[in-house]
Amino acid sequence: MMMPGMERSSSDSIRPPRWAEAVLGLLVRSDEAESVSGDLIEEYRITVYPSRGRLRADVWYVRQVLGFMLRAPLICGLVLAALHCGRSLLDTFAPPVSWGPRSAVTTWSSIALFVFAGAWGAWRTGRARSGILVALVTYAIGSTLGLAFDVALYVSVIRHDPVKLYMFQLTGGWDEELGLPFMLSLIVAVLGTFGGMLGKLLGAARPRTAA
Amino acid sequence: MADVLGAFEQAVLLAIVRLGDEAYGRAILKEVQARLERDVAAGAVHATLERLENKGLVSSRLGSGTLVRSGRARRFYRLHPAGLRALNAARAAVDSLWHGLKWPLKGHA
Repeated sequence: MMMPGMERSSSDSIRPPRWAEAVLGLLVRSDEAESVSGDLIEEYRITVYPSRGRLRADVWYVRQVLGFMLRAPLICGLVLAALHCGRSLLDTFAPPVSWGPRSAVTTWSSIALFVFAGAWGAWRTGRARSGILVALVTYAIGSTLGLAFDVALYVSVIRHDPVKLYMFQLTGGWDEELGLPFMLSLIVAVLGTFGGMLGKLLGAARPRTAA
Repeated sequence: MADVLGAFEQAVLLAIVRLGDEAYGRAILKEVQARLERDVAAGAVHATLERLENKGLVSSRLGSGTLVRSGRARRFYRLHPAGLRALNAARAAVDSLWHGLKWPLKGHA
C-alpha cells in the first residue's frame, strides 16, 4: 500500500519547470493564480506526462505559459506595432525636413505605452514584477511585428528607389533596425518597473468586491 | 438584449452546462477540446472564462485542492440566467439563419 507521504513525493517529483511556473504566476490575476496553475499541473501530471514523457511534457507546459504570456499584453503590443508601422510609412513616403518632432511623438508615445503596459500588468495581477514582464513582452510583440513590416516595406518599396534607400541608410538602416531593440530592452525593463510599481499602488487602492 | 456570443464563448458556456457541478478549469478545457476536436490552449479557455465572468454570464467559486494539483484549489464555474439567455439567443440566431435550408448544403459552391 502506498503511504500518503510516498504518494505526495512521487507526485511532487513530476512537475513542470519551476521557472515556467514562476512566469505563469506573473501573468495571471492573483486570485486566479492558484486555480490556473493547478489546472495546468493536473493536466501535466494526468494526461501529458504519462503519454509524452518529461521533455515533451515540459515543452507542452512552456507552450501553455507562452499562450498566457502573449495574450496578456497583446493589445499593447499591437498598438506599439501600429505606431512603428505608421512611423515607417511616414518616414518612407513623407520624409520630414527635421526628424525631431516626429521622433519626439513616437518616443514619448512608446514610453507612455510601456509604462501603461507595466502598470496594467501589475494592477491586474497585484505584483509589481508582472509589470516588467508585460512591458518586455509588449516590446517583443511590437518590435517583431514592426521589423516584419519594415522588411516587407524594404523589399517592396525602399530598395527599388535610390532616394528612399539613401534616406533609409541615413536614418540608421539595418544596424538600427536589428540592433536597437536589444539596446532598448533595458530601458523598457526600467519603464516596466516604474509602471509595475504604479500599477501595484493603484491596485492596492482600488475598492475590493466581495468574492 | 442578450449578449452576442462568439463561437468559442458558446463552446465554453456549453461545456459548463454539460459538466454541471464538475465544471472547473481543466474539465472545461478537456470538454471544449473534445467537442471542437482540436487542441485548445489553456490560456484561451481561461481568458474566455474571465471575459464571461466580467460580462455576468457565469460566476465562480473556489473549491478544494487535490494531491495531483499539489493542493491547489479548483475554480468551479456556474451558468447565470444571463448566460442561459445568451446561449438560447445564440441558438435561435443560428436556427433563424438556417431556416428553410437543407443541411448539408449541396450544389451551391
